[in-house]
Amino acid sequence: MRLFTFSNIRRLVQGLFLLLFLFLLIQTESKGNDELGYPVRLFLDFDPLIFITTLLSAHAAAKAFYFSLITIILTLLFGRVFCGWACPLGTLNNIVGSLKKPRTDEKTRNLYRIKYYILIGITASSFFTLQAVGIMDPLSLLIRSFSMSILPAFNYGARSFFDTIYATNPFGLATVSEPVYSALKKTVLTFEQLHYNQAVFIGVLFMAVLGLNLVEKRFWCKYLCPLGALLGLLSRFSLLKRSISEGCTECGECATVCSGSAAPDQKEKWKDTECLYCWNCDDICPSNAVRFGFKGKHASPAMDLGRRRVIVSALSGIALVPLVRITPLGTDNAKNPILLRPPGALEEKEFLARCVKCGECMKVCITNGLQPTFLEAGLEGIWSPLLVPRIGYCEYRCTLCGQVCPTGAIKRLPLAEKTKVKIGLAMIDKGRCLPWAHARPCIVCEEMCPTPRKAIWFEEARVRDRQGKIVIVKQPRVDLELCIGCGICETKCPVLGRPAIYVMNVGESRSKENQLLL
Amino acid sequence: MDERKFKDMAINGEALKSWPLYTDVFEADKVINMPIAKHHGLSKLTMSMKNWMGVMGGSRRQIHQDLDGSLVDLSMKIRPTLTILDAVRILTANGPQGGSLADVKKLDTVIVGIDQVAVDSYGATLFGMKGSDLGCVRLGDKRGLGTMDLAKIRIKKITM
Repeated sequence: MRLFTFSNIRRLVQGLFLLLFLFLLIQTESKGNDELGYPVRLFLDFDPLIFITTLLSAHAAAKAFYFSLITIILTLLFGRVFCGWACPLGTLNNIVGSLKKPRTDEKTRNLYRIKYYILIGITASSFFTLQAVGIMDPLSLLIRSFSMSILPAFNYGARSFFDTIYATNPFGLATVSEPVYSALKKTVLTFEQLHYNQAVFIGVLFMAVLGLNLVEKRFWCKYLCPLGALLGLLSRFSLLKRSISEGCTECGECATVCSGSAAPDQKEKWKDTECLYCWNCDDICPSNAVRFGFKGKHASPAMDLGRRRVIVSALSGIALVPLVRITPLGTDNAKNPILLRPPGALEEKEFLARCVKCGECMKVCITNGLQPTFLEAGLEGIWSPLLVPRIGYCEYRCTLCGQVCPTGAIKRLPLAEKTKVKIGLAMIDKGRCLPWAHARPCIVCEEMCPTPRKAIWFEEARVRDRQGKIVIVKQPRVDLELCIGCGICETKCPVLGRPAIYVMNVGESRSKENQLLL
Repeated sequence: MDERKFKDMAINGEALKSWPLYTDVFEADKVINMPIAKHHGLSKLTMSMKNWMGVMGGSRRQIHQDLDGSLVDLSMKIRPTLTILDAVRILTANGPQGGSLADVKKLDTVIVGIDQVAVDSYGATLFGMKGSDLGCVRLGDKRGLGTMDLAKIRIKKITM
């Protein structure tokens, strides 16, 4: 086995892209300034599937998405090299797939068409403003799963491990483990342990995608990936094609190592839409009969998607749009009041037409307050961000979520503008508030309020305690004109459980209808 | 900051019996307190005694229910070697977390002392108040933590 095979070079490049992805992912965190250097959105900027669906559903595309034209051009030149050489999910699929015990009766399933139907469904629905791409786009899936499940779980495991050694100090190991822990905290671990709703659900889904590789290698890439389907369609017109010389003995070795189930042993019937250009077949061919080159014509075999199936896919995608939109959550009166969107978020319809549920905003939120929705925004908005003040508030001097959003669903706002955006209004529950109901002083809410003129003020009241003694307490009141709904009052309110002051989204600046004050 | 370094410590004060406090404060040879002088909604001003909230872990937002007593308890437990009150720029309103540049006054003053109560009492005068206006200063004086009466302490003014 030679070391410098082309497929080994390909593996090296795959490894480098995976490391780059993980590096950028770990860098997508607040470093103390309100400025991010290299967020992982870079990978999404190169994603043409998101570029196209966002263009269709929102009639707009962030400028950064023009990077995805590079991916399109590279595919038109070299075929699905993105899938074979760059995609980090593809690399992870390869790694998990290598754990599969190879069997002599290895089946190749004829399911390659499914990913095209998924692509058609997603594209058709985005034409009618439904942005469903985020659920199955591989980069979005990867970033979301890592950000909200894999990395936090890894952090938890690491911290527990080092904390246990620190606490029990077996054989004096703490003197060794603590410097290692410090080094990890400076590099790989997050600043604090992050907590996410649905972490188990999202994690299990991701592990199922990886687990499919034990059923068949690169199952996702061959049969499910809509980005792979898009690049496959472009690959049909690519310049780099595979050809077989006369020396082929039809031994079938190439088919046993093909990453894309592209029927390489069928010679001229090799599927250029399925080939991942991994070079396995070339390297294994005992007769050296495989050639990848730019010369010569190649008649692409029929994709055989079936006209009826294509139409059904498109219609299913389109039918989904009214079905998800008849939720009362879209009406003026019945919005879900706890749906606090990040400041800079567009008006809800526009927001949903852009959000790809990548989870970057939730990863970067420095108080861990942004959490994935489940059905709070309707099925259409699943895994989009909402602020949960009991978990974390919107830090007054932070604009990181707007900086990472790849599609502009959350606008990037300069700090001076962001501090004026209202995401909701706080109101006091007088039955639970200590000075209102229990004759005890408090006003932690007023203390924490970050607004320049304090959106909470208090009136002094003379109340009696149980012994009949007069106590003078400061009773807080919210100034609805100044309150921006950041939620720090709710986060810090000492009345745990149901707080004595809480934020709801009525009054959010981005919505014309969801207003309170005249 | 290392979460593990918050350990429950006995305080045996009038408001606080025990509280998780940051162990570094008690392991150091000398402790110097460097608060910034700010307005505060409940305690009127936050200066050196209030600054000790920073070494409290746990649910410290509960101490506002008896703020003056808790602060004096804390300040008596932690006997700093020196207190340096940063009054270079003071926040005169909407503190400690709100406010705008309009609320900031540039005094270019630093107050240094070994008596926390006296430092806070003097600090109050920068805001046009008296030490006796502040509950924690009155209580600290009453419980013998320090002296609130500025006439009874030696004040040396140095202009740089």
